[in-house]
Amino acid sequence: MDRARWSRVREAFERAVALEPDRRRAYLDESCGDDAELRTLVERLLEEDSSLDRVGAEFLKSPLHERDTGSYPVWSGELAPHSRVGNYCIERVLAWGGMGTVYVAEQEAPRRKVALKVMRTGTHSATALRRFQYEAECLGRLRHPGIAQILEAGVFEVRSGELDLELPYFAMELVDGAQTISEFGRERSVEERVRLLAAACDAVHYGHQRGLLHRDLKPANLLVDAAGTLKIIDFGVARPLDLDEEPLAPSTTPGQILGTLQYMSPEQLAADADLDTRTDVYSLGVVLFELLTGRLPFDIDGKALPEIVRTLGAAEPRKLRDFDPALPDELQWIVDRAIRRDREERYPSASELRADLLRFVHGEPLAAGPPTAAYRFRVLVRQHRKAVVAAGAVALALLLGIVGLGYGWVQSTRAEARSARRAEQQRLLFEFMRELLAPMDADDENDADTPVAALTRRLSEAAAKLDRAYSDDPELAAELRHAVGGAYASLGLTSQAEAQLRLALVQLGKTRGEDDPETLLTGVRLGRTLLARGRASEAIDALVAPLRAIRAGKITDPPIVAGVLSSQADALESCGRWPESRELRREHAHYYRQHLSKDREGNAIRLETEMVWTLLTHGLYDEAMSSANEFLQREDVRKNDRRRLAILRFQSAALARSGRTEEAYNLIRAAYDEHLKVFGERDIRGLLFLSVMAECLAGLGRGEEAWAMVQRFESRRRRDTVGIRSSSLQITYAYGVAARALGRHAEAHTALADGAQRAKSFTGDLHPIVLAFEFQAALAQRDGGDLEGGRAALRKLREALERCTGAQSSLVRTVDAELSK
Amino acid sequence: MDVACGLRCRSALVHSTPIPALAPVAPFRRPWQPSRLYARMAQPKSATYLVQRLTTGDPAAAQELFTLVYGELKQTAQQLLAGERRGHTLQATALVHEAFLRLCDADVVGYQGRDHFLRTAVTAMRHVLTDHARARRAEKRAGGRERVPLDDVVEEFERRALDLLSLDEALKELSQIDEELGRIVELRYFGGFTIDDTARILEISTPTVERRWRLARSWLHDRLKGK
Repeated sequence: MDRARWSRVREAFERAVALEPDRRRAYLDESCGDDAELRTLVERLLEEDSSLDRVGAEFLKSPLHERDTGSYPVWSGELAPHSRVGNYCIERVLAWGGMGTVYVAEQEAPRRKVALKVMRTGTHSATALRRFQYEAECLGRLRHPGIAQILEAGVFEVRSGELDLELPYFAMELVDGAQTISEFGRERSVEERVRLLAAACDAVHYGHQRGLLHRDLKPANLLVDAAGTLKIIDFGVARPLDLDEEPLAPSTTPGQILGTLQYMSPEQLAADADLDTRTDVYSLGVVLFELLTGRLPFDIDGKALPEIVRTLGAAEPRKLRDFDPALPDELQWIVDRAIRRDREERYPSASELRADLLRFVHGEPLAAGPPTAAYRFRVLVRQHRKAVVAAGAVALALLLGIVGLGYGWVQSTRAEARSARRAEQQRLLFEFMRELLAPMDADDENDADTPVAALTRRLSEAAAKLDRAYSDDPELAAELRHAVGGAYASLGLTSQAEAQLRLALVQLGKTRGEDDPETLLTGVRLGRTLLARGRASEAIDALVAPLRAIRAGKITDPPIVAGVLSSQADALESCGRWPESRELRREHAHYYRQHLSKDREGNAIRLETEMVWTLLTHGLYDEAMSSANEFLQREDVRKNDRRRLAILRFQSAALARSGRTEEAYNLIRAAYDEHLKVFGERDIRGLLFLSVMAECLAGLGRGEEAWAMVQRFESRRRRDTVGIRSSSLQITYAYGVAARALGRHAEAHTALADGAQRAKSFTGDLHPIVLAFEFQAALAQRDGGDLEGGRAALRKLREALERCTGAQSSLVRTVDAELSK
Repeated sequence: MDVACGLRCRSALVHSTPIPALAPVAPFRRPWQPSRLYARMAQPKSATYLVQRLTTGDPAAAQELFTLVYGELKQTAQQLLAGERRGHTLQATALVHEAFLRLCDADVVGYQGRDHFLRTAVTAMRHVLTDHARARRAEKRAGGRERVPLDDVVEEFERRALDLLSLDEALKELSQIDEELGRIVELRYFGGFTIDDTARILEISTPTVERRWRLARSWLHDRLKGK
């Protein structure tokens, strides 16, 4: 029979055999169709199957497999003091367990006290005995300070009625002054308790590595000796008795089962023979819960057995906070992850659980828990408080930059939450960052570097050895490079940032693919960096791929989409492609409105109102005015004082520039008064109002007043540090305009030309702000006496404006009017 | 060459070291002691190396390992049965587990390695039994032969109205059509593994093993009936 034919036979048989006999015929009618030969064969096999299934059928019942029938003989006696078992002399009973009795006994040579566990269930065949020996050998090989050492295993015979029984026994290290872990933990701090459980995980993991499961982890088996050392007893002892087909020893009483049920994993409760290390992880999780709260995660008090099993199998575990509100979230996450019902979702091993417990103790980000950027950020800030205080805003920006990597990350975290490699990469990433920031936290800062300089130096060192250090994982190296590039950008070191981001982009494109969020985000960052370097057209190129991905619906993650749209709008504007830029800004605002949650509404309003500013700087005064009026009608804008006042400010500027200076002045005065009322004298934005006011006064020919106002905010600007470049530009603008109104043309020209240069350095030659400065500068030049120079500048400006706005725009007309003077 | 040499040394060792628990000492049995175990475990283990190669997907290692395990099982099966009280059957599962423990360094090869080992060991077990049955038949014809403990086992099979050799033939045929079914029968019948253990060793689900075991059994029965 060929393989294809056989696989049809096999499939038909397997399907049919899973059905009730009376439904098989219908199935075969359907599946075999006309193939009579196939059908005959399958039917014959099914018949064989039924006959072989009958009781008493011996065919292929392996004599090698059959266990000796009958139940195990059980010995219910107890050994009297001074009885001898092998090399040991019984002293007294230490404890009664489900499977046997534990005695304190004295060993003859070497003379020492041991715990002797004598099983209650006899082995009555040599095969079972051999099995016991085999398992005992495994146990004897466990040598770990956290595991009570099995010293010896053997069998001794007792006479019970008619029977000679062979009872297996273990001699174990006697744990001196033993308390259970929960007794010991009662008086300890949370940290000590967590460390204790971490020690237990370590020992359990050791056993797992040697192929042994404990299967019965519970406080009674987790002892702490007089020296405070944790010792696990009964490791793997559940198995040697050949009980792998019966999870509970036959002699276990219901009470004893109940004491243990709570700690059993769901798969263990389901008597699933296929247990693995995660069953012990579950039990450790339950012990952790008990250790922290003194209670168990499931409430089974006063319930009957079937109900208990149901509770354990289906109910939501209680929360740590239900018992102790002071316990931190992190511990809840750890417990949650350890006692997940689906073992796939648990920590894959005890050592992973241990690692997270220790991370908790050291205040590091956990593998468990919601891996949000905000959470990781909080932890990083907490860890690097000193650096943040020392380097202030820069370190904060840096941390934000790192976490902001973030967007791509958080997304991939969701998608690949189960990928262990991904988790490992994230951990390495954070470790890298921590190393970077660590020297800034050191108490004895020997070198005289400022924190920022130190940080810069460390960054370049880190960047230099990235490829070598992570040569085995180019993907991770690329991500780290992305992070380093982002950090450079936060520090304003744009050329270094560009170099790193370009490398990262190429590497990420190769390893994670062009459309991966991380790759696209790197593209966005590179775009922004290029923009900040005044290379807008290159920025546009860098942003093409991300934009295309958005249009194709491949990226939908709101923060990335928003970042791409706004960066591209800035880049287009800087290159003079103003209408396209306006469209993108509209789309951006619209996108925010559609996709971002309610708590981000402020952002949507900000973007919408900034459209007024865009329209204004593009010379579209009428549109700016009407959309300003429209916004001022809107409920959400009216309630938002900051936005409302900003719109009034934009509106005043629009009025002033379209020649309605008087109106503009009245409006801005009223707005400024209100600003003072709402935000007070000290709010730095007041300067923006004053600068518009100065512009208006200058336009009204009230040069003295304008100048006085400029002096006011100039002195204040020097007192406060205005970090925002654009606002300091706006003040420069107002300063130039006021100086011009006062007839101080040379002064005005210097300030305005400088402003134009500064604006160019982070936008492009054709950005509205640049052109506005150049316009005022040209006028100052002309009025200062350099007629030809001024006119030449104006003509050049007209050309530029025509490219940006078309020949009929109000801006071009304004320039034309000046040229005709 | 190395393998054969290792085998010879080991055999000598096994001969001189009785499995402790099997020497009956009344009323107390002599306990097993870790230190003695360690002395035995300290031997170089080429099986460990072979299992590692097997785990990393080197099929050539399977044949070498088979040779090694075959020798080991044949030795121990005879020995163990010699110490067994009459009427107690051989437990193949324990036997192959023990072979594993003796031949391999469990710490080195891990879970996965153990399963690889078990698969090979069960095939070896099958050959130990069928080879013995074949030899027995030949010698019976020649007449005059000393009885050895494995005879009991073969007789136990035959007592259940099953001719080991025809079964072996049919099983070979089945394996040619469907290798996996052959494996399942081998593990269940010659290894004495439960459905669950078989599923774990073959890395397939328990219900699948259950269904395929039934298919294999039906097929074999049908086949042997026809002869």
